[in-house]
Amino acid sequence: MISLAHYSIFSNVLFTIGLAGLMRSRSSIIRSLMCIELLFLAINTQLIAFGYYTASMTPQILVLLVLAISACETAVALAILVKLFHTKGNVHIDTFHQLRH
Amino acid sequence: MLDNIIFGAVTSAVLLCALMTIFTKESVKSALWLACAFFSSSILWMSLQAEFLGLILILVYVGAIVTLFLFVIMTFSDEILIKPNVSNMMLTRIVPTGLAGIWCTLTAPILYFFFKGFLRKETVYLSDKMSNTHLLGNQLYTQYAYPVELVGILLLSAIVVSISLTVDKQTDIDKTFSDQWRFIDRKSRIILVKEDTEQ
Repeated sequence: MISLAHYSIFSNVLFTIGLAGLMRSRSSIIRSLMCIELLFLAINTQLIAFGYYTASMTPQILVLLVLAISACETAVALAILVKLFHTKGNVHIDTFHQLRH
Repeated sequence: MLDNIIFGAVTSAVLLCALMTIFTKESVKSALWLACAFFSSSILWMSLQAEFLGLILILVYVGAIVTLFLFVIMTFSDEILIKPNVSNMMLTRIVPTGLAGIWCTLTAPILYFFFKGFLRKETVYLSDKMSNTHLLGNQLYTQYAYPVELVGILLLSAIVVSISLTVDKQTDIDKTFSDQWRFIDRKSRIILVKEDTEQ
């Protein structure tokens, strides 16, 4: 019998993989965005498991809203990335330090 | 028994795809592994009675988001995306992540122990008569209509923002609108400059 703890552990491990990727890929913005998508996936899986084990529809609606918001985030981030490439010529994180002291 | 086999197979597939996403060198392959991770987790969502969301995950994420990623990657080429000779500080990055992962994984059973009373014991279908899509739509357009409207406005503004960011405004072109045409004379169009000849 699979319990909520199985799903929790699974989504925590997935979240950790995404976090590790986020730390590992600090030089490439697009890789960081992919890791953020993995984090969203882990959170959504956890929410759906909560909904299943509490027999409620509310988490599924939350997941739908989170999906829309993360799609917006990705679209705007990639647009910013294209704009940065036009102005700077590359997309390395290290070159964008104009606001640093 | 079959539940356990499906759960084990699908979760290990998702974790494998996620690991390949972060450890593959080429960004294109990384995006394809991300698509695989989304696909296999949609199977997991469908086994949790979220069929509509599983299909939405395939349609929106594999169909739109990963395609967007691939499009951007193909515009840039890998030399631009990945900076060579990056010092990977293994000790300062991987070790805290590992510790955080162990902590997260340990908290899951503890939380389960505390919230055990709220959970149902056996499989209860949310509705025998209505499909998952029907149930979701019923709640979305009655109880959760306001958040849905807000998300719609957010999506619209995201479209406007991303288009206005990427549209290249050409400022060096001299545009003349039709109501200004009658003011055009020879001086505004051509300037004759007197210069000495070199001979």
